[in-house]
Amino acid sequence: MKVIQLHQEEKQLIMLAIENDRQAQQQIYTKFSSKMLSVCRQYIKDIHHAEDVMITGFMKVFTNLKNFENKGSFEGWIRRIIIYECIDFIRVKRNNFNHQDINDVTISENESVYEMEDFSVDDIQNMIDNLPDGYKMVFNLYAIEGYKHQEIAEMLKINVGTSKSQLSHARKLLQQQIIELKNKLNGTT
Amino acid sequence: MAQHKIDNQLKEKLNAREIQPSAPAWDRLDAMLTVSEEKKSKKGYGWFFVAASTMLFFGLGFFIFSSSETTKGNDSIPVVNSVKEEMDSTETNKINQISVEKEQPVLVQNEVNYSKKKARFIQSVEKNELIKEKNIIQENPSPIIHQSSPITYKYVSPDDLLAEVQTSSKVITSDKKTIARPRIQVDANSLLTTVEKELDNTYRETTLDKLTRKFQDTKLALANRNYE
Repeated sequence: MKVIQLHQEEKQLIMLAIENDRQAQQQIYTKFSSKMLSVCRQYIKDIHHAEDVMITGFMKVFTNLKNFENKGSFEGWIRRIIIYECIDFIRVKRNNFNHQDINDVTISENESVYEMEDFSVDDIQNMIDNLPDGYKMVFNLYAIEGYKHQEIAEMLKINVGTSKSQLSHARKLLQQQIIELKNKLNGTT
Repeated sequence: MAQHKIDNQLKEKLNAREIQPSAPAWDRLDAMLTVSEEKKSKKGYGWFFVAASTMLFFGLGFFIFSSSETTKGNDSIPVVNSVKEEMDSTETNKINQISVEKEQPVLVQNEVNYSKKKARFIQSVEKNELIKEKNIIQENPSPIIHQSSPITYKYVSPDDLLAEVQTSSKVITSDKKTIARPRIQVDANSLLTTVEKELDNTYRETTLDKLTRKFQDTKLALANRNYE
């Protein structure tokens, strides 16, 4: 019952926000802004830039709210818009991603065995931040957002093979960082 | 499998995270939304203004076009009137306004008859000349006798009478007029001209029309005054 009531409330909020009701828009913003800023932070290292991207993302959310068909989750719809906004930001900033073809990389599946439970979110974020933009993008989209390589290739306008290679490189780099961090924590540098 | 486990751990930790945006973030978004709404509303008004201006343009065009047509129509009438009036004014200088107005249809009729029946017209002219000669002959021996036959001067105005008294030659012209003057036709024409004038007045007058009409009135009044 509570879920249905919440869904109805959300629908009503959306309807009001479509009519440019500023209070409803603010309620939607306060409900999702902190989560969406976290998403932006995954892709963009600078928190101020991440906030700017989040604001422009919300702007797009409110201007295109009438296109939301109430089929999927509202949060998922907003998240998708925000992710696209982040991709656009990085594309404009970097002019292009640092992509590497699959032929240049040798992937070993067995070497990536590491535990993440010992690390905080900030540690994980720092490790992701240290990745090159292209790697970071593919890793976030594949490992965190759950997109398939085909989808990622379409989103980033790259080959599927390139997406796979980027992910592999990202994992390799993350593994190195985890080992280094573990050694730091254990005091065995 | 180990890879999936790590990915899930990462996913859980990052999805659980929430970062509060700064306080002015909403104000910025609010301002952006307000600007976009204003732009939208301006766009709407822009279309409204475009539509209104086109309607106004076409309306003005239609009004000007229609008014120019009416003025053209009105112009055609005053031209005729002015010609008539000019004719009247020029002829009033000669003799009398009333007598001239009465003479006009006679002239027109004579023209028509002339084109249709030349021979008859020539005959009538010859007859008139003969009458004129007779009158002159009668005038020469005894002008008093001629003056004492006032039957034909029943409808001659006092001005005419004065003119007759002053000059004996004009008497003969007035005689001629009395012979060739069909009264009913003359009255109809004058009636027609007055009706046309009244119609012109009832129509919407442009400033140009008013000016021309007033000019003609003053011209006529001046001519009458000069004549008097």
